[in-house]
Parts: sequence; C-alpha cells; structure tokens
Amino acid sequence: MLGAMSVHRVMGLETEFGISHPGHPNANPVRMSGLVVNAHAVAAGHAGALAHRWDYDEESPLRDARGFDLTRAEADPSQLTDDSATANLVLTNGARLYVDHAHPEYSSPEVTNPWDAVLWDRAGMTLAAQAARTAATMPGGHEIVLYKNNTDGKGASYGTHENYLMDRRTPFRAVVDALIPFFVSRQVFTGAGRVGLGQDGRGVGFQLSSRADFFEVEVGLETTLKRPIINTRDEPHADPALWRRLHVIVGDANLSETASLLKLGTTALVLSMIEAGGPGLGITLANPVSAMHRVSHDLTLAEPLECLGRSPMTALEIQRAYLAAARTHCAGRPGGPDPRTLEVLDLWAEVLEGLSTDPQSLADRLDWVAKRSLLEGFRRRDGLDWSASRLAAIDLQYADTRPEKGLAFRLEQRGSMRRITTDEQVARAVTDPPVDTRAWFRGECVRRFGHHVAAASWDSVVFDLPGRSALVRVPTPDPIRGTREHVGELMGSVDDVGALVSALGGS
Amino acid sequence: MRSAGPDGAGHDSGRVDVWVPDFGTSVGRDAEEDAVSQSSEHHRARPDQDTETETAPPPATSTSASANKEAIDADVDALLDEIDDVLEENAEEFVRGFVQKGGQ
Repeated sequence: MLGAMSVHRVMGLETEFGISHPGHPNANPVRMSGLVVNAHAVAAGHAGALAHRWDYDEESPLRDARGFDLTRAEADPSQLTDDSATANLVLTNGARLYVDHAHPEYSSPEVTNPWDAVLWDRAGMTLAAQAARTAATMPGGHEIVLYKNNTDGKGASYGTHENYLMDRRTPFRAVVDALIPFFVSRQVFTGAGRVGLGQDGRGVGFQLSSRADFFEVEVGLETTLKRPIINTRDEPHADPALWRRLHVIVGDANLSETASLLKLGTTALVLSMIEAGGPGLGITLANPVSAMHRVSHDLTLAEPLECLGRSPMTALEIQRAYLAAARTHCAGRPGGPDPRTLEVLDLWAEVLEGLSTDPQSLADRLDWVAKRSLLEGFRRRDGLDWSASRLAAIDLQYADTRPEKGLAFRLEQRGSMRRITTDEQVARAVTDPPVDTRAWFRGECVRRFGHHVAAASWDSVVFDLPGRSALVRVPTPDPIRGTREHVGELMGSVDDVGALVSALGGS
Repeated sequence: MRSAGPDGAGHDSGRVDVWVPDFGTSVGRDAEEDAVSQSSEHHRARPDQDTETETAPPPATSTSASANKEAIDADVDALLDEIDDVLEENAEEFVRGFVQKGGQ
C-alpha cells in the first residue's frame, strides 16, 4: 500500500500566517485576513478560476453551506472589502485559502510524498504574500505583511499543521505511544528557532522551537488551548472505515525547505513503522510535556530525558534509535528502499550526525541553526544582550514572507540556505495541482469550469449546471482517485461543464 | 448574498443530485499500487528537482569547527552588512506592534 516501508503517503500541510499592518498594532486581524483572501479572489477570479464556497456537508451539500457568498461575476474589487470573516476559496492548484480564527490560512492540496508537500506549501506562501501585496491596492486596503511563524512572542500561538493519511486498522494507542517520543525529540531538526522563553516570551534566551512552549498536555482534541502533543481530531475526509487522518499540530513553521522535508519524511517513516506493528523501541518518556519544553530550551542537545524502565536518553539518542529502526524497516522492502525513501534516510542520518558533531555545519539546512547564527552574529558585532529588541525583531523578520524583506529569503538568495524547490516549480505549483491525488480533479474543475463550481471541499465538487435548478455533487471520497491518470483523458475530452458531468455519469 | 446558489435562487429546495461516478465509495486497496507508480512517474517528470541541490553551495566542512569559526564569522559579518539595510528601522516599536490573536 501507499506508505508501506516508504515515505510515500497521502499528506498535506496547513499554514496559519501571522498578519500585521505595520504601524497599526490594533488593526483588526479578521478583517485584514479577509482582505488578503479576497485580494487573491480579485487577482485570480478574473480568469473565472476560483470556487468561492466550501462544501461543508457531505450529505446535504449547501443546505448548511457557510462561506463567502459573492459569485465570481460579482467579484469586483469595489465589493470586496472587509465583509469577509468567512472568506473561503478553492484554488486551481487544489488548495484552500481562507480565514481561520484571526489568520489567513493556506491548506495545501493532498500530495503523495514529502517533496511535493514542501513544493505546494511553498506555493502557498508565495501566493499568500502576493495576495497581501494586492490587498494594499484594494478599496479599503492598506499595507499588510504576512509572517510564516507560530507566535507573536507575547503569548499567542497559531499553527502549522501536518496531515497524514493512516490505515484505520492501526490502534490509536500504538500511534500515541510511538509518536510522543518522536515528536518531542524531532525538534532538534524541525525547530524554527525562537527568541524568548515561555509562552509569553518573557524568559530571556533562545530556543530551538517556536511552538514547544505552547504544549500543555499529552493527548487531546483541543488545538487552540491546552494544546496536546498528539491531537485526536479525526476527520479523514476519506472513507472512515479505511482511513484515519493524523492531524499533527506540534510542528514549527519552517522556512528551510530541508527542515520541512525532513519533518514530513521522517514522520511518514515513523507512521509506516507504526502501521507495520513497530517500531518496538520501548522508549517511553516519563514526562513528555516537560521534555518537550526542555528539548527546545537545551541548545547543547545533551539534556538527558527521563524514560520509563530504562536509563535517560537525549533527544539525539532517541532520534538515532528511530532512524536505525526505520533503516531496518525499509530494508524489508523487496529490492530495498525506493530512491526517495533512501534520500530521506540518508538526510536524516547526515543531519543527526551534524547535530552531534558541529551543529553550525547545518546553518544552510536547519532554521534554528540559521537563525541562531544570524542572531549570534548581531550579538557579537553590536554587543547585544539576548533581551535586545533588535534580536526579537530579527526573529520576526526571519519569517517575513516578502522576498525582499524576509531574512530566510535573503539567506537563500545569497546561497546561505539550500533550496529543494526551484522558483519555476513553485510558480507552477501556485496555479497547478499535483497530478497524483484527487486534488488534480478538484483543481482542474476549478480552473476550467470555475464559473460552474458552486462549492468544493476535500471530498466533493459541487456543480451548478446551466439550465438546471438542482446542484450536482460529485463526491471524491478516495484521495488517490481523481488523478490525472484516472480522469485526465475524460477531462480532456469535454468542452463544457455539462459534458463533463455527463461523462462522469451524472446526466 | 446569502442564497445557496450563484443565481440567487432555486437551490434551497434540497433537490440535489448525488451520485457516485467511478471515484467509487468502495475504495480498493489496489488503487494504492497505482498511486505508487504514478508518484514515481511524477518524480521522473521533474528531474530538475534532483539537480537543484547539486547547484547549491557546498556545505561548510565540519572537520574542524574551530578552524572554520573565523571563516564563518567573516561570512556572517558579510551577511549582516547585506541585511542591515532591510532590517526594520525601529526594532522596539516593530516588536511591540507585532500582536497576534491565538489560532490553532
């Protein structure tokens, strides 16, 4: 199956962006988020290539539909101002762009591997930053800056969530037991770095993760308070008898593509082991929540973490144990690991080795190392204490999504931070869906027949056909059907939406 | 503006055609094998992804951290000079003004 002994698995990333009107700290973030989403509607909507509604109800589409109600024909800049608390777009690349709480959120289309997840996530940052730029030109608009980070340093946090489709047959207890030590320890390479300690950032210093201090319990359903290391939300957006969607909320917002790739790739491998009944390491942290905080605060990477029934282990030791188990697990595949899986295994090993011997050598691959390097540089050159506002400012500006201002971008531009994607690939992913999931069908329907897509969701596309009063709903319950290979020929053979629906069997 | 359909009328009756084309509610495990092959084909179609890392600058050698320190410091200094002009001018005000509402 997809996922067995490999990094290949249906996955996706959600990013809630920090949002700011420079010089106006009291600007309404809900209104600004609506402006950004609607700005994208204006920029993209002229091509008819948008769906403006989210189909919330699997059983009775639109009876309970909430969402942004302007039709494309009405999507005139003069009408798109701030009445948009529920702005909601389905994009031609299969993604969703909407207002979640008080942040613009981009949910990537479903992809089948970590590389594509990194690519379509980057596409989301690119199009969101462009939409923020467009928002300044709209009536009632003004300068808006988006940040790909997780905290304002004053007590508020917002998420970067990973989603992985899992085999329903796997007992959830096994998922929890194997993932907690993994999530606590993976911060050594997934951390985005943060100036300030504690949720409100009042503690002086630097830590690996921007997110760790906001976790208060081990397992739970909440995402906005009492955040759990393992989130139990389970809306598979697929056949629930077969699939579980693992909703991971502990991750940092990565600017480094390598860190993001490693985060997704290693987690996919651990899930693969769990589904196979592994990894059987017998590692149980005595105090997972406090370990989460301690690993993040320990820049020496040497903090021993108390384990049940065995001697304490450092985060790096725990990671090495998972890596060794993953190598053994993947070696069990006939012919050995596939090339992409091998690439993740080797990168994982290289990064753990680098962290053990010379973390600075990873300044071109890991966010926290790159950020600390910058901060230490300013501290040395300008004699700054860790409590200096300039360091907190650099922390924020690292995540500025504007290529000319964002410090992570500046590092990339001078070759100090490695890329995995290319600008050309990102530009394509801004408009095009991945070809190997149902996101292809969704995105192509929106691109070609946006005028007639009344609503869409992960598992449906709802058409409004000319001359018919009833809407027509096409369910897409299987994430890996509706691919280009599956329906590309059919889509290519029809000239209008009526023909498409007929060809699908719904005439 | 809050009607259920783009034409403003006619879709509230609940008359909705729902059918399942060959997407199928019965999800066969065999579909997963297809996806694996699609996935690898997908990657072959984008060979530039593999070459990109090769065009990236070589990593700093890690054999002797202390010997590298000077070179790294010099490189960081060059970087600091480059980004000095894009840094937010009033750091204190910028940091104080960055206030977010909690999210997920």
